[in-house]
Amino acid sequence: MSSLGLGLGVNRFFGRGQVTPLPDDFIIEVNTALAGVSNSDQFQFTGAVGEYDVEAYQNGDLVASFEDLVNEQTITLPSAGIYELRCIIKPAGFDKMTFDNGGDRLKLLKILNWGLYGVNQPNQASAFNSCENNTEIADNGAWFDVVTDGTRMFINNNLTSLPKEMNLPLLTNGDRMFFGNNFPSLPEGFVLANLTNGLRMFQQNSLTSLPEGMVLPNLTNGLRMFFDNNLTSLPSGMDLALLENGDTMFRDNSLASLPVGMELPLLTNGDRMFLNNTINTERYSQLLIDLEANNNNNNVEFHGGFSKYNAQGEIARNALIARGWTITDGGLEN
Amino acid sequence: MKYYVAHNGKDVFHYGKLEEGQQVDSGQLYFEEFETEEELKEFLTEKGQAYESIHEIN
Repeated sequence: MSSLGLGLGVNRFFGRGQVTPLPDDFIIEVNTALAGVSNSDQFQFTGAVGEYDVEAYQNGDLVASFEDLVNEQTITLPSAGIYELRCIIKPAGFDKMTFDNGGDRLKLLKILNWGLYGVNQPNQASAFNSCENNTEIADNGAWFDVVTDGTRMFINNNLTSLPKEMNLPLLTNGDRMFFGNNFPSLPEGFVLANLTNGLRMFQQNSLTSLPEGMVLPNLTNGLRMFFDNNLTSLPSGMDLALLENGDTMFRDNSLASLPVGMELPLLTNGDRMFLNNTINTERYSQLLIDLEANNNNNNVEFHGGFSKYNAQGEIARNALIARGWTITDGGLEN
Repeated sequence: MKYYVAHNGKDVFHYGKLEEGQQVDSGQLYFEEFETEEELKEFLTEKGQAYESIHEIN
């Protein structure tokens, strides 16, 4: 039985086999038997940056402990199997993991508690990149309110939801952050108010809607951001006033309308933007009218999916084409 | 299904795939049609343009 106090003045155990989680610990569940760079009874803290002790548990029992680990380390456990690993973060902190599509990425099963993980590191690029067996991340990550760069942080994990507390208020770069997971929805309050780069951020998920308030006021790069989801509508107020690159942004969704006010005045690339959507004729025609009136860019490529336009839309569309635009859509409604 | 390139012969190249029920119009100086993606790729390569597959999703 452990009696590490960690300066907190408390034992880690209360009663027979009862483990009281300490909120500052970074706790993960791993299966050492899965493929990786370490042996089947080992786990590598791939790309770790930090100073930490580790306690390994099975069924609530402490089975091994490791002290004074610094950065990437490989620990050897009693046998191959599933373990709960508690990283007791030292005062120097624990900035991040960096699996980056390598190391023991496939051995990670769950992130059970964030603790002090990442509280001093706003750049979490590639932290859990391609941890394909990771099905869960814990609530209440202090890093949620710190991170600015989430590039490929959870790309190709196996997550089906995000913590309801997560809103990432300072995130500016979401490049492929959640690409290739299985989210049907996002947490309320997940508005990404400071996001500028949403490149492929939610590509290949199963989103059917977005949170109210996710209007992305600072987004400039939406390249493939929501490509290959199941969106049927967009949040009221999403006008994408600063969007420049909308290439493939909403491709392969099921949008039938667009928010009032979406005029795309700065769009320079709309290639495949609404491919395989069908915006209703009135709304699509209004978009063409607004593009013609408010977007001063020439030679823009734009894809309206199977959407059709009316006579007023046709006038605007012709004016855009006269400025070098190339527009693909469903044609004039009969 | 047809593939197309609308271009100005210099620095603007808009290309894509036209599916049943779609139409494309362009104000670019030239408009080329191709039966296969390979032909489209060859054309763009000859023009010194980087080619991104129409079918690429990743």
